[in-house]
Amino acid sequence: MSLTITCPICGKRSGYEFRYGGEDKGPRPDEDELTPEKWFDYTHLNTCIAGMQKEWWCHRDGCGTWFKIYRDTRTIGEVPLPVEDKIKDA
Amino acid sequence: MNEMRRYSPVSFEKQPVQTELRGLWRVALKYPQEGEGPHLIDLSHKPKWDVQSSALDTIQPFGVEIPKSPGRCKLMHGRMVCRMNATQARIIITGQEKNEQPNTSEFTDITEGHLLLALTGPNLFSITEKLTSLDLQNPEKPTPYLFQGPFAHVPCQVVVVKNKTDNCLLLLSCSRGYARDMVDAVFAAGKEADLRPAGEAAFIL
Repeated sequence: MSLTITCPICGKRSGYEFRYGGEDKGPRPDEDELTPEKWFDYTHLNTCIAGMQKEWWCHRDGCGTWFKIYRDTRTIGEVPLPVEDKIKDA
Repeated sequence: MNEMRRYSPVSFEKQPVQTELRGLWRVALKYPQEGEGPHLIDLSHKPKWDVQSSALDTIQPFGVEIPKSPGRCKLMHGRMVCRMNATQARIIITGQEKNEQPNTSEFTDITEGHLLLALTGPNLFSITEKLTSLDLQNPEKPTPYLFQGPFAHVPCQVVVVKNKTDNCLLLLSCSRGYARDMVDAVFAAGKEADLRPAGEAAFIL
């Protein structure tokens, strides 16, 4: 099993049970000053970091929950959530 | 005038020797040569409810409090209440009592949309480990406990009711469309353990 992901509801499971939901790009851009260029950047452009990346995942074959994890794209594996994010996401 | 009837999505190769008409369902009570177990029992006729609310803690379905943390289950008066996540719970009426239909928007009747199978008997986990990577014997999960994950590659809800080696009981629920393949997979995995179909009479909580 190459990838395991920790679901906040079900715990650590095989990566095959999950669906990747893309990079976490933060909140939607503000509607007031939104231009088509800004919206395009938000929806289509990715940073593709070689390193620790914050991502959305869905426990597709399990509880169906959407959640965020940190993953090191160089080693593929999940890395623990930084303390400040644990507080923010709680 | 045609008679209205409800059909279980589950069917076994053997025909039952004793049945009972319960409501609109024809319930199999006994199959020939059931043996000592392990057994696979079709309980798809048992009422099942999905409860969704942002304030689950304030709801007491059929007088049973919903457990606080996901995975935990409560079995009381023939009603199994399982917490699935922050906003969702599942109710399975395991007993024979008639229940009033809840009349609020939080409740959805999923009896006909989902199948329900019971696996019971000794050494069940030697069968289930061929079908799922879920750690159903995890000692950190107190029984009854709800696992949500793939079973025979199908997204399922599995309630481990008893997990003693000589006395196991699992309740397995998934969408009714998977019934035929799920039953085939379970019987294929249970062939060497002599898994046989059994009627509702063999289902003892």
